[in-house]
Formats: sequence, structure tokens, C-alpha cells
Amino acid sequence: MTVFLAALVAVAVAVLAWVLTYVAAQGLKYLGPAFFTHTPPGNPASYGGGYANGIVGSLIIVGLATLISVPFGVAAAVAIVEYGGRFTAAVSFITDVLVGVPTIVTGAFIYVIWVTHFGFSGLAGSFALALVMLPLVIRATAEMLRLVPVHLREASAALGVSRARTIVSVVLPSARAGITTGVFLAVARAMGETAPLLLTALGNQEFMQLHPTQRMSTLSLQIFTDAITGFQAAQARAWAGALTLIIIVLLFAIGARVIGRRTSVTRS
Amino acid sequence: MSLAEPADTPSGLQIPARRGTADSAGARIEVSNLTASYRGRPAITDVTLTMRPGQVTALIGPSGCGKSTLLRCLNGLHVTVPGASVTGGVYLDGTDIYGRDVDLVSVRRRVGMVFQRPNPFPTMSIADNVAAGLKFGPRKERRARKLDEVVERSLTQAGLWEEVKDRLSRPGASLSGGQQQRLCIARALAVEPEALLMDEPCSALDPVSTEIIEGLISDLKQDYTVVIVTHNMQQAHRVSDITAFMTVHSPGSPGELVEAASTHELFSQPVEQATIDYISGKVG
Repeated sequence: MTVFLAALVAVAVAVLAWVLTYVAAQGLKYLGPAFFTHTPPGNPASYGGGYANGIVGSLIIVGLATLISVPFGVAAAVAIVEYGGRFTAAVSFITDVLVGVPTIVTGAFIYVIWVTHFGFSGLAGSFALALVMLPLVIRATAEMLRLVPVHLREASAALGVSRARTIVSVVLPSARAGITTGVFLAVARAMGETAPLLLTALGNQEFMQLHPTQRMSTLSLQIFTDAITGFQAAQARAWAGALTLIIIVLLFAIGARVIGRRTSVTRS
Repeated sequence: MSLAEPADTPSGLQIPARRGTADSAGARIEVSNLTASYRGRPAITDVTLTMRPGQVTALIGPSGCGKSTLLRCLNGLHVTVPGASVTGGVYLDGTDIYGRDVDLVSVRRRVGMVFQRPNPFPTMSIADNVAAGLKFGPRKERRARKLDEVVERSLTQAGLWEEVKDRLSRPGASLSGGQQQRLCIARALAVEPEALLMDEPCSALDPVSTEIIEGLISDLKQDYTVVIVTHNMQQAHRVSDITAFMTVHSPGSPGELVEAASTHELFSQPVEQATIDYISGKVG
């Protein structure tokens, strides 16, 4: 039994390691400082250039999506866990459904309600990603709130602290490390999303766009665009972009760990 | 909700609220025909008992007799549990805390509580733990006090100041179990309650810490009405002035108050057979 389990674990780890080393090997062929500072060349068939606009676009779009989804997500989780009742049971159910919605559908939804009125934009992409992140944030936060022991809530209540203040000052700080980790995982997921952005942010291979009301590129969109061309130069850039994306996600995961560890021991 | 109006209660001496007057002692707590239930099933039934200022009242009895439930009714913590309810009255200086116009959150500022397991807030420092009740309390109270002074005064009262004064910004959870429990006592005292409820405060502690906290209880009764739930009859004997014995007559039936008397009297000449059986070690 132990040997069997060990073999399965070894296979799983080996596949993951294979993916990572393959992407790293392919990506490192092309990855250099210029990749982070230049936009793609005008002709996708030619070498040179980088994904600077995609990296910046990803950070802006995912950043906005985080700003939108975290307050709503945490509030919804607090309502579900701390208050309960029929309405919040419905919210909880909808959250579970929302997790299962294919992200291309989310993109199509934002296309219909926003893009058809205001055009393609980074902001529309943020809305789509916020919808992708929202159920993840709600679930992660709700799980963490449930882990906060009842005796801490009672300790606060016994001091004559109101329920709302107990949630804000005792329960949420106690769960902060876990909530932060959950949010970072949602951010990492959003970073890699491509489908919901195709119909919303659209992409922009030409130049650096900092204004979220305009169509924007992201790392994932640039990887997609370059990977489906037949040009070797474009595909090389896509590999480098894929490696960059993995590194960014890894940095977020490490960041989540560091923040989680620090806030769990020090004062509020 | 109450069976009796506040005016009808046997509240012999009315003690004014203690705010600002350090020499008066505690609040009088009268429990009248109290029945407390969880999801319709009574956990204690028809309890009538008075807890007086300047005295330590011990609640003793076998497991499941409802002594913790009774304690949790005295500050309204019982009704924060989903499905929990009470009938009858708990009068704090003559006011029914379950009365229609009474805010239980403000009742809990007058009736503090210490739990069985030390439960300092894990995200906060020692000083922040002590000040938590004030910092998170009503806005006007927050402004009126100097937190540093309150922290020092409360920790001194709890006999912890000398041990922690050089590390007030360390996490509360870094202390030993006995120190954490005294930290919780300091936290409860910081909001200047009139009564202090203690739910088996020493059962998770070693003998040395227990002795320290028992000494503390004797000091605290000068200024507070102290109610302590304990499993330990020797402890009740050592620290309390009044002892109330509770029991269950059969498994699953609600707990009842059998008798309450001065501690010396209850242990030396109990009236009821159930009390005699329990304190002589036949049951429990």
C-alpha cells in the first residue's frame, strides 16, 4: 500500500516537474531583460520585443478585479457565516453555482451587459475576472471564518462588544491570514484566465496601454495570440510569456505565505 | 418574558451603578424562576437564587447539571447561541436583563466573564488584549479613558503586571496558561464591570496557577459580585461565601437548583439528601 501510494505521488510530482522544467527550458531560450521592457514587434514573424504591455495589463486588470471582488466577497462570506438565514443560504447556493460557470460564459455575459454599450476595455476584463474571483473569495473567506473558534466570539461578546464590532475587530483579524491566502489564490487563478478576457479586454499587441477604459492586453492574451500563430518567433515569445506568468503566480503564492505568516502572530 | 416585574422582586437594597465610585461593591444579581432552553429543551428549570455584592457565590454540581448554562444566563451569553431561549428573570440591581428595553450588549459591560479555557485574542498583544473591551466598546467610553492607565490598573488587579510590564507588545498567546487566564481576568476587569462570572476558571490550569487565581478571587470580591462555577468542591469551600448545589434527577432531564446556603453551612449541615450524597462522594 505504501509503495503504491508513493508511486502515485511520484507520478504526480514528476508530471508537475516535467511541465515546469519544459516551460522553463523553452521560456529561458528567449527570456531576457528586454522581454519586460518592450512591446511585441509590429510583425509577429520577427524576433525581438517583449510582453511589457501584457505584464502591465495583467497587473492592472487583475488588480482592479481584486479591488472589486474582495470587498463584496468578504462581505458575502461574513453574511453567510456570521448571520445565516434564508437569504444568505441562497447566496451560498449561488456561490456554488458560480464556481461551476465556464469562464467563457462569464466573458460573454460581460460582453452583453457592458461591452455592447461601452466597447472593449480593460475595465470590462476586470469585471469578468472579478466575477471569476468572487466565488473563490467567498468560499475561501467563509471557510476561514468557520475556523475561528466560537470561544473567541464569546470572549468578545462577554466584554460587551457588539456583534458587528466583534466581526470586524476579532473574527476577521483572526481569519486574516487564511483570507489573504485565499485571495492570493484567486488572484493567481485570475492571472492565468484567458477566456473571459477574449470578449472583454480583447487584447492589444501594438502598444502599452495604461488606461483601463481602452482595450488592453494581458500576459494570458498575448500568450494565446502568439501561440496560435505559425511563426517560430511568436511562439518563442509565447513560451517566455508562459514562464513569466508562472513566475508571477509563484511570487503571489510566496507573498500569500509571507503575509499569512506575519499577520497570524503579530498585533492587530 | 419575565414572570415578575422588577418592582415585585425581593430587591432589599438597591445599589446604584458603580461607574466612577471605586468604594461601592458590585451589583446584586437576582435570578427568579429562570428556565433556560436549547431548541425547546430546557437545560435548567425554575432556578431562583440571589448573588450578593461582596460575596463569592459558587455553583457546584455534577456534569450536565446546568451550572454553566445558569452562569451564561447571568450575562445573556446563553441567548447568543442559535435556538437558545430563557423564561423567568435575571435582575441586575433590580432591572430585568431580558426585559424588552434592555440591550444585552450593555449588560455584558456590567457583568464580565472569564471562561474555562484561557481565550486571549490570538492576533493581539498583551496590552491590546486588556484594552480590547474599551477599544471596541461604545465610542464615548473609548474617548473618555487613557488606555495605558487602564491596562496597567487592570493587569495589576489581576496580579500580572509585574510579570508582563516589560513585554506588553508581545502576543497574548505567548504567556503560560495560568498567565493567559489572568490576562483574561484583566481583560474582563478593564471595562469596569460590577460583577464577574467565572466558568471553571482553574480547571485547565496547574495547581500553582490555581492557587494564584483563587487568591485573586478573594481580593476581587471586595469590589465585584463574583460568581464561580466549579467542579471542585474543595475549591468551592476555599473561595466561596455562598454555595449553590445543582443537580439533574435523571439523565436528559433539566438541571435544578437543590439548595443554596452559606458555604460553611452547606458543607457541614446540608438539608437535602441529594446534596448529602454529592458532597459525601456517593454520586458525581
